[in-house]
Amino acid sequence: MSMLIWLVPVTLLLVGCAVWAFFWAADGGQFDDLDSPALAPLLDDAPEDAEPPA
Amino acid sequence: MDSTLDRCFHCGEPAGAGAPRTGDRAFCCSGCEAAAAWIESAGLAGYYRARRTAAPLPEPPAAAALARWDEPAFLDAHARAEDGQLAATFVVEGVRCAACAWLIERALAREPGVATATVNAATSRLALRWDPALVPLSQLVARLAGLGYRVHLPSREDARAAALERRDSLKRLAVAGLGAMQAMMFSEALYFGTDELSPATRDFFRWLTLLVSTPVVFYAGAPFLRGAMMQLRLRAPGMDLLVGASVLLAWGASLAATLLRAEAVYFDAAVMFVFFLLAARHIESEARRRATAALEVLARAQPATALRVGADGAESAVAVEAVEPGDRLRVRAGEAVPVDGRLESEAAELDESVLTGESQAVMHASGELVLAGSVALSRPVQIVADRRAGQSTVALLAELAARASASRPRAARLADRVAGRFVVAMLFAAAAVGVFWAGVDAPRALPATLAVLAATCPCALALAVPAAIASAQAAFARLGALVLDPDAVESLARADTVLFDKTGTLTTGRPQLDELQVFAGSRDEALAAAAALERGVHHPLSALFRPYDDGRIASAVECFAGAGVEGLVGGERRRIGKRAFATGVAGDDDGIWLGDGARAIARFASAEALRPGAGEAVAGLTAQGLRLALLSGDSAPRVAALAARLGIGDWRGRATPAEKLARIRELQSGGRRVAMVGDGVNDAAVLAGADAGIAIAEGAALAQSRASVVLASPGLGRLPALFATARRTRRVMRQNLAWAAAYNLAALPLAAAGLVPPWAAALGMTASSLLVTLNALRLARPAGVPA
Repeated sequence: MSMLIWLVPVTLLLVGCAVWAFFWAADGGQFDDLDSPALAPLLDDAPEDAEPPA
Repeated sequence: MDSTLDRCFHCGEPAGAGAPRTGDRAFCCSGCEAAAAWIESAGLAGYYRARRTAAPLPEPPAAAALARWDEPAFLDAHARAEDGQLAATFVVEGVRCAACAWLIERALAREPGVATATVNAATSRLALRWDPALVPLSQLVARLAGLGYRVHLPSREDARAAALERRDSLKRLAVAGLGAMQAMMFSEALYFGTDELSPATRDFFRWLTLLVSTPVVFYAGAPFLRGAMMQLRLRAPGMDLLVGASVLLAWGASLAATLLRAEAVYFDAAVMFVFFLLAARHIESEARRRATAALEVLARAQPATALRVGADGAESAVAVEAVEPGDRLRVRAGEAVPVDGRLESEAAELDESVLTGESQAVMHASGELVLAGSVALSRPVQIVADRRAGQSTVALLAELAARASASRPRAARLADRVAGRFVVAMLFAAAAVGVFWAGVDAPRALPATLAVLAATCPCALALAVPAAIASAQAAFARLGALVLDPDAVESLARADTVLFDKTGTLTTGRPQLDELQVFAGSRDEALAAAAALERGVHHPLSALFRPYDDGRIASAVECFAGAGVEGLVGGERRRIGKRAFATGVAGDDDGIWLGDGARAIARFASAEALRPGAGEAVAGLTAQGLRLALLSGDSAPRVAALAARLGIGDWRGRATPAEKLARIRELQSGGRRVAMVGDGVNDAAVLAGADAGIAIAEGAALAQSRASVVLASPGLGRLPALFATARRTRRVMRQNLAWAAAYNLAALPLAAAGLVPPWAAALGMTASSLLVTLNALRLARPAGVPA
C-alpha cells in the first residue's frame, strides 16, 4: 500500500495537467470550429493583389 | 437588511448621503428611484425577489440618439411591416437572468401599441411587434433605458458570445469527465476492497474521492445548481431543481459520512449524474447549433459594404444600408451580391447555395433578378439595385428565421409543463420514500431517496421534443425549406390534402410553346419563319420562338398594333398574330396564327412553363397517399389543361382568394388536414388559413408571408421530402416521449423499493437522456436514406 502514497499524487498531478491543457486549448479557440479547418488545405489561397510591375 | 441602507435598492451601487430615499430604501440616483417606483407601481415587484444580480444602472439616452429609432429609413431597413404593425428583433444589453427577461416582457406589454414582446434570456434577444401609430419605437427604447437595459441591433458580437458559451460548456464537460473517471476509480476500490481495506486506507480513499468530485459538483455542475436556485426563487420547479437537489444531497451526505466515518459514500452517483447529464445537454446543444448554423449563414450572407459605381464610373465603398434602389453596384468575382438587383452586365454564373441549398451554380441572363447573398463565380458583375438591403430576400429570410427560432412548439411547452409538475411530485415522493425507509430500515433510507431523485428525473422527457425539432431543422435547411412555425412540423406530418395555387406556384408565370399545328409546309419552316418575324418584336410571347431562330432574315417587317406582325421571309409574305390578321379567316382566336394573310400555315399555342420539379412533386406526393387539388384564379380551361398535364384530378378555376379560403374551411370541416402551397403574395390569407402554409420564397413577397414554411429553393422537387421529413420528425418525437414516459414510470417503483443503487439510478437516467438525444440526431440525416 505504500506505493499508493506515490501513485495517487502522480495521478492527481496528471489529471490536473490534462485539465489545464484542455482549458488552454479551449480558450485558444481550438474547439470552436471542428469542421472547416479540415477542409482548409483543399481550398485555394485567397487571391492576392498582383504586384505592379516595377 | 442593512445593505439596503447604504446600497442602492435598485442597482446596488453605493448610495451617498444626500441620495434620494423612499421609505427605508436608498437609491444612488433619481434614475434608479424612478425605475424602482415604476416597477413597484406596475405590480412587477416580483422582479426584485427573483433577480440573481443587481439591476443595470438606468441611463437615459440622449434625445438625438432616441430620434434615430423613429427615422423611416431606419425602420425600413430593420423592421418588417405586418398587418399595419412593425416587427423586429433586437439585442438587449443587461439581460442577466430570467427575471430580467420577465421584467422586460411585462414592462413592454404595458405600453399601448405593443402587440407582442418576447425575450430570450439565454440569447438576450427581444422579438418585438408594435404599432408605430400608437407608440413610437423610441418610446419603447426609452422605457427600457429607464430600467437600465440598452437596446441594440443584432450584430456579429452574438456569435462571439455563443463561441465563449460553447468553450465554457466543453471545459465543464472535460472537468466532469476527468473528475468522474478518477472518482469512480477510487470508488471502485471502496466497493470491492471493503473487507481488506484498513479503516485508515478507506478514509484516505474517501478523502481522495471527495477531492476529485468536489470540482465536478461545483464547477462542472454549476449550471444545474444555478438553474435550481433560479427555479426556487421564481417558484417554478423544473428539472434543474431535481438534478441540483439530488447531486447536492449525494455530495453532502457523502461529505458527512467521510467526516463522521459513517457507513457509505455516494460520490460516484453525484459525479456520474453531473457528467452524463452534461454530455446529453452538450450533444443536444450541438445539434441545435448545427441547425441554427444554417440560419446564421443566411444572416451573414449579405456583405456589410457594397461597391457603388458613380456616374463617372468611379467605384466607392458604401455601407450596404446606404444603397438605394437604382444604384449601380459592382460585385467582384468571388464576392456576394449585397442587395437584390437586376444583372446589368452580360450573363453570369452565380452560386445561390446559401439561399436555396442548391450547390449547382445558376446562370443568369442580363436583366434578370439576382438575389443578395449569391456569389458571383467566375467574373465580376454589375447590378442595378432593386431593393434596399433590409428588404432583400436574404435579409427577410434571416429575420423570419431568427423569429422562428425564438418560439417553441406546443408539444415542447406541454412537455415542460408536465415535467414541472412531475418534479414537484418526485420531490415529495423522494421525501416520502426517505421517511418510510427511515422507519423500516434506516441504512437504506438515504440510498433509496437518492435513487428515486436520480432515476426519476424527467430530463429525457424535457429533451424529447426540443432535440427532435433542433435536429429536424437541420434536415429542413438542407431541403431548402425554412420552418418558421415550430408547430408546422406537426401540421405537415398530419396533412392529408395538399392544395396548390397555379400561377407562380406550379408554373413560373412565363410562357412556353406547348402546341403546334401545321397546315402547310414543314414544322421547322413554320417555326423558323415565326422566329424571324418575331425577332425584333418586344412582346412577352415573342420569346416563345427565340429557341427556333435559325438566322433567316425577315425584311420589310411591320407591326400592326393589336393584330400582329407582317414581313417578307425568304421573299414570301408572312403574317403572324391574331387569326383574322394572319389567315384572313375570322373565328376562334385561341393561339398564335401564322399565315400569308389569306391562308393558314400554322397555329401555335402557348402554355405557362412548369416550375422545375412540379411533376416530381405531384408524383411524389401522390405516391405518399396525399390528396392533391389545384385551386386557381385563372380561367377554367387553362387550369383544366394544367391539371390534366400534371395528373391532378381535383381542380377549380376562377377562384378568388375568399373562395380558396372557403374551400379550405370546407375541407377542414370534412375532417381533412390541409396544406396549401402558394406564392405568398396573393395567397397570404389562404396560406394562413390552411393547417400548414407553404410559400415559395420570392423577394418582397416574404415580408407579408403568413406561411409556416418557406421554400427558399426555386424548384418544387423537394416537396415530397419535406412532408416525409415532417412525418419522420413526428415519429421520432413520439418515440422519444413514449420512451421517456415509460422509463420514468418504470423506474420509480423500483427505486422506491430500494432495489436500485444510486449509481445505477444515475446511470439509467442519463442513459435515457442520451438515448432520446441520439434518436433525435437520426433526423439530421436526409430523408430517403434508410434509417
